[in-house]
Amino acid sequence: MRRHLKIFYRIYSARLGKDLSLPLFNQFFQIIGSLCFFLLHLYSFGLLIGKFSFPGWTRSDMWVLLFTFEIFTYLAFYLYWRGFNYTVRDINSGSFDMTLTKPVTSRLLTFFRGGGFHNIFCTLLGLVFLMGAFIYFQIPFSFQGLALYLLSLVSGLWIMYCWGVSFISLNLKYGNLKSTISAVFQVQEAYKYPSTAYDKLSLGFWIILSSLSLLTTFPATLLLSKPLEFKLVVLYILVLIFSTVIAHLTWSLGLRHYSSASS
Amino acid sequence: MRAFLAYFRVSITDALEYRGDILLYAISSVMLPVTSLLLWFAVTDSGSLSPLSRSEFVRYYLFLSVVGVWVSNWAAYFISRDIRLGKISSWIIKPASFTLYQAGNNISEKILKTIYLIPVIIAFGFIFRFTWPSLALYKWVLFGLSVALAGILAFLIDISIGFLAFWLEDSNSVREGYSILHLIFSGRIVPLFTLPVVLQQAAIFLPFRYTLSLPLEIMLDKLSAPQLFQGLLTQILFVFAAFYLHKKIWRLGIKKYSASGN
Repeated sequence: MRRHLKIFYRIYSARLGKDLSLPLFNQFFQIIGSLCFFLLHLYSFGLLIGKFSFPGWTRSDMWVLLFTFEIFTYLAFYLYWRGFNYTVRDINSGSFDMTLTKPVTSRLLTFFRGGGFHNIFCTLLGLVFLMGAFIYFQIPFSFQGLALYLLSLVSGLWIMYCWGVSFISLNLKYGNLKSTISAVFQVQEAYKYPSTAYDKLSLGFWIILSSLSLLTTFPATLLLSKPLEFKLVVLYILVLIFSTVIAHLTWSLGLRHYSSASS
Repeated sequence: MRAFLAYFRVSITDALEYRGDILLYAISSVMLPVTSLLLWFAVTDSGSLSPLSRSEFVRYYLFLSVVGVWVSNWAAYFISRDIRLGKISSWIIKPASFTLYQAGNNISEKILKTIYLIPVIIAFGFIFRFTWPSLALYKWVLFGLSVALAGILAFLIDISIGFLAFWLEDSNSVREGYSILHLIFSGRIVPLFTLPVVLQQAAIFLPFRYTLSLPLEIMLDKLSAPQLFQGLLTQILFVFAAFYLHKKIWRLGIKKYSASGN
């Protein structure tokens, strides 16, 4: 575990160092691009909650949820986007073989390739907005809530990572499936809104959308010290276990079926 | 025409090599519209006032899934990369137009994507109890025309952005900026008529509405005859403007272009 954390830290700090060594012009435009998406989410969300309400969530709660969404999404992009892209590229070009020969867990080296500085910038911006929301709306704050928030953010990121692994593993068996890269991030709209929004849907859709929505609803609920429905807690735990198992299975099966493009 | 058909055949053959990828793309392309649709169901069920009825939302997002494929584009990234790496050099000496090749590639993939998408849409249609809009025949013809024009307009804008790589080292930032504005003003995330009036009026003068929202508005029968005529005319004008723009950018870019190692 300690070795893995050390490798993780080395990869991400090296990537950050490389990003910061690029001309300021490049970084400026990347940050502007990410900032525009950040503001787009802010704006579209503001439009929607201005017109509609969600049961059990006040306006201030909704803003906390949105900023949790921003922090979560940009962290996910920072941690996984490059890894997902490069893994598909490496599998198709044959350079994935090099990763398999290294004496480190292949999943660590494959999926964690460093992230862009602009994603960290927007994550921090989300954090600033979140703190601003607490001050502006005078929301009561507790350190216990904060600790649980951070823990649930980490578990949410783990779930997202497992989904990514499950999708990307299809490339090991079926070859060039570039659509798997973006498939994981296509569902952003679902976890921008609280789980209670999907309560009246049929069971199948409720399970799917609530599972997605809990990635941000769960941390936001804990931070706001709101009561959480028992069925949602159970669903969250089941999703955590299920996605971990599926990721492990798909990756193992994928490696067994993998034949290199360079051989 | 012969060159276009040749490129089309090559692109179809190429695309058929990656059937799995196209199938996955078709499935993932409906995820956002379906998620947005379910969200609107949740909003309308909560008793909030809604701009459309439930069946209209179903029509909007299911048609959006199909129209969305026909106005999707991906060439800008590859054109930008090819210009940067000097691979565009071979196209300058060919007797056929680079735009024709991109068009052949574009249409061939879209046909395959639509074929894969249809069963997915039919399945969701059953689930959401889709009902066909009762439109007059001439409106269906205008809808088809508007979709075709939207596809051409989106394609021309996309390759024009790609051609900017003749001047910019990387036109991805321009593409991202365009994508953001497109998301707001094209109706992809929320229908345009849910936006504030100021933004709706701004959307009339921007090209984004004519790359997606206009055909959907025709399908929903939300436009009066003058609005329909004005919308189509504006769409045609935008197509001509985009055609002229892409030609101009290509000519100016080729004059400036120099490649190393080729």
